[in-house]
Amino acid sequence: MKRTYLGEFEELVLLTVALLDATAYGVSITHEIVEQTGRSVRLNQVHAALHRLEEKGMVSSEMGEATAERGGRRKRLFVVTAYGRQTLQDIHSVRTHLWNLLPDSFKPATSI
Amino acid sequence: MKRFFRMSASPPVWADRFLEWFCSPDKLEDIQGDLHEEFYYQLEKKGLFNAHLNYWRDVLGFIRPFAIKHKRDRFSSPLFSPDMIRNYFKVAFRNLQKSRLYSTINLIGLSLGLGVAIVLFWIVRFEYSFDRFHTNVDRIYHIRSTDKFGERQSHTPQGVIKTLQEHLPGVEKAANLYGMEATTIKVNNQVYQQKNTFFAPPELLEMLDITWLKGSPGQSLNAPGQVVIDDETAQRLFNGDAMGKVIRFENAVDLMVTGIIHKMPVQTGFPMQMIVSRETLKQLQPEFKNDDYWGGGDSMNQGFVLLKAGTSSDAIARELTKLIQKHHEESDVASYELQPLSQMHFDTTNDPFNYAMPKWTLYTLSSIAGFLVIIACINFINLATVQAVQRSREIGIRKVLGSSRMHIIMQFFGETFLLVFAALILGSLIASQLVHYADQLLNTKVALAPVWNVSTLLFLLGGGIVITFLSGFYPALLLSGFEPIKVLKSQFVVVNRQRFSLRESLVVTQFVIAQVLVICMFFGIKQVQYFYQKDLGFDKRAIITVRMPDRKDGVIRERFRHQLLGHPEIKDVTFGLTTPASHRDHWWGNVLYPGLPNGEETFRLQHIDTSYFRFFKISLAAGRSITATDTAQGHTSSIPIVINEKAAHDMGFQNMEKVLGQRLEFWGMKAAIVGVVKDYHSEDLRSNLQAHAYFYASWNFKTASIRIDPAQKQAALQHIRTHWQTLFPNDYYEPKFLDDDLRALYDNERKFSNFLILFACVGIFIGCLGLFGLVSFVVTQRTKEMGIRKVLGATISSLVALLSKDFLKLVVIAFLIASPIAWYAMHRWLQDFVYKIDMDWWVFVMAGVLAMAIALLTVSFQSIKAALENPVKSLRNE
Repeated sequence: MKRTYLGEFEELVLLTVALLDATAYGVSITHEIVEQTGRSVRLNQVHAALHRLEEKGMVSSEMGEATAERGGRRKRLFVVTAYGRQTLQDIHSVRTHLWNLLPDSFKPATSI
Repeated sequence: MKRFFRMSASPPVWADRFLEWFCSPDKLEDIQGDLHEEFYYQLEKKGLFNAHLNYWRDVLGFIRPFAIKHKRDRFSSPLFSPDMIRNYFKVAFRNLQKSRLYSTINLIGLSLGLGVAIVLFWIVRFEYSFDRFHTNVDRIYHIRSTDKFGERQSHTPQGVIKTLQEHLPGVEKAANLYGMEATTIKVNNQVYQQKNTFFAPPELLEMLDITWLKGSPGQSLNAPGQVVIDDETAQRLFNGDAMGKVIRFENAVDLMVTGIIHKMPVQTGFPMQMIVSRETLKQLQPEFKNDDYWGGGDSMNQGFVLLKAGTSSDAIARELTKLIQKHHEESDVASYELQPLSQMHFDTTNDPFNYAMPKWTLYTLSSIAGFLVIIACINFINLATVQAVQRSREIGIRKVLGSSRMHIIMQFFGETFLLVFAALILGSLIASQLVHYADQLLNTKVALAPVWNVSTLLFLLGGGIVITFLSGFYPALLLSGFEPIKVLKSQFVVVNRQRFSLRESLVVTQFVIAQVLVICMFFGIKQVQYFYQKDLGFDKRAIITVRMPDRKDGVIRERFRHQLLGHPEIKDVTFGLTTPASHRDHWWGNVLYPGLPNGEETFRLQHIDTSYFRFFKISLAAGRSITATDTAQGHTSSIPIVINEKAAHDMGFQNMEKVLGQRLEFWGMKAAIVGVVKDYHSEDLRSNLQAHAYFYASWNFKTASIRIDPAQKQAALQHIRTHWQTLFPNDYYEPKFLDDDLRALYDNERKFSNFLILFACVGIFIGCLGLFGLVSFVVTQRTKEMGIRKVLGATISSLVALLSKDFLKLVVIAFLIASPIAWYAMHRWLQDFVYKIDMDWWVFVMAGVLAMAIALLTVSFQSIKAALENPVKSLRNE
């Protein structure tokens, strides 16, 4: 089965888009990533990743409504496509499977 | 808090502009929106400075392919799709149709300017193509020399040729070429005049690219009595089959046709139609027999050399100059030089076989043609910008409907292109007619050469593109820059009045060019008139000259004289080598006399009949003329000669009486001066007076001069023809009027002034067309104003003055600029002439007044019409 390669940062962005549901756009994604992960992320990196994701068909976008703080400019709102969701789930299940195979000593303590 | 940078609480403008510039339009909105949002977020969090810094960093971070790349979608508007190109032309065509007056003015102006420019392109190309068709053109040189008096000469003695052939390595071939203007030949008892007759050895024809139809240089020209003719001459003389036929040449020798060549192209310095073998020349003129002779001075005996590849022409010339020492008794040459064959055509110091074209003439003419095109381009620019006001709405609407600036620029170029190419077609038509008259305007034979070929088409295409760009660039830029809001909101675009607008300076430029031409034209005409009318010091009126073929036969000569004088229509007859001033047959002698500078000087020698001075009304300053007793005497000790005042001055005498009886020596003869005649102009008026020596030499009376009764011209000509043809049945009769002959000396100047006349007229005409267009525009713009002024009591003359004043001011300014330029140009031109007109101030004034009058006429045509208009009409319709 052919798999689409997803970079680490792309995966992060894709997850964030999914997290933000219908309010994902450049600034909100950037801020969310910064907030949730503490990484310093720049707008242009996010835009580049979104561009790639859209090319790969994992997100789709449409122009939102104009807002005053943006000088009347519209936002481009992103949502995860079915294919994107599938990919995320695939990645997740592969990782869970591998985690489950790991010996317990490797796992962080979940309970005392 | 102090701020070092003036920063507002909004994103940095330059960064934004930069982003807008590089970012693809379909991405711009959300990227810029995100950036702005982020900016305000940062502003709140980290302050203004950091927000600005961050913004810049982000913008620069977006310089990445995904943001820059343009995505072609159905909303993009291509500049050059077939539909758009068709649209440009359609709109252009409609616009040209709509403003018919301006289009016509532009079209006429450009066509005229281009027509002249195309002809000049043909002329320049033609003149530069001379002799370039020879395969070895880079290795063929024309031998030139400078004599010890510093005069350049074309003569190359046969000794030089022999030395080149035998003693100088690096020389492949060397040969003499002797040219004769016109000779008399007889074929089957029919007498013909043969122009372009040459004497040449086989080597010369081997150097050049000549197409041999029959025979070859080696076999056809190496023996006496051989002649080669071109196919055209063969057709004329023999109706085709010429090989082996016999031509009686100059009543002296029979020649057999041993070869036929293809007619030489027009653009050659060797227009050979009949080539007689050099061996024949040696028999006809024994002075050419001595192959080692380094002397002589016949400028029609020229030399050419073909060097081996890689040989330096300077080295060969130096060798030759060194060798003069060995022959100093014969040679009066100071130095030899080798002139590349391709330059021969431009050398005016040469005695050319075809004709010479000075390079400065070509430069002058082509720059004038360039200026004419510029005048026409200026018309275009002015009329386009002046219409800008009317078209501003159209442009506004176009922009609102989605045109980009480039679209509008392209549309204007489309209009210009259409007009320029229509003008090119018309101009080509004008040019192909005008080129037939080119020989009236310039000493050129371009009309005989084919003009339409690939390089002409390339010139037209290139010229068209350049002119389109020149004239379309500024209007396109100006008009496409209108902002839709301003243009559509206000009724009129207020053009800010500068003190001196671009349009005005362009008009001044036009009229500077035109007036320089007009002033030059006046001086050109004046100088040519001066040439024609200047008193030359002898009487040239009503004189017919004929050649005396059998110049040695005194009995026939006297019979001719007596027969002619028997008719009342013929007043007088005299004989001589030439008339006092003539094109050809200048004989020179190196005169030895102790009083001359360095003891010697070149005098012009004139062989005269006893009645010569009386006939030409040249008066004596001292002593007597040659008499019949002198001629009868025989030259026992010294021959009696007459000199002119110039010669006496050169010999160191101020008092003409004192010079009588002085003895001098030339041509190895001793001579005693018996008389001095007043100076007259024997050369053209470009040159100084020449020292002369006159003596009776009945063996060399080549020319008969006949004074006729001008009222009975036809009868007189008839008598001369009858008697001449009875006496010389084997020769070609060709009478000439001395007046015409002398005028022909100034053909170059006459043609040059013709050219100036044409150029000045075209220049003024195109300039006035533009002026007319501008005035008509101003008049339509100010119709209402005129109406109101009239209602308020303005007179017609004040209205006309109001409208015309502005334009006439420009013409006056142009005149002030043009005068010094024209003065300088004409000053340079006149420096070539020893005898010339003064640069009178009234000529400038006349030219200025003329230009002004023409301009006024042009302007008033429209302004009077506007002033006469009934104000009711102009004010009523809104």
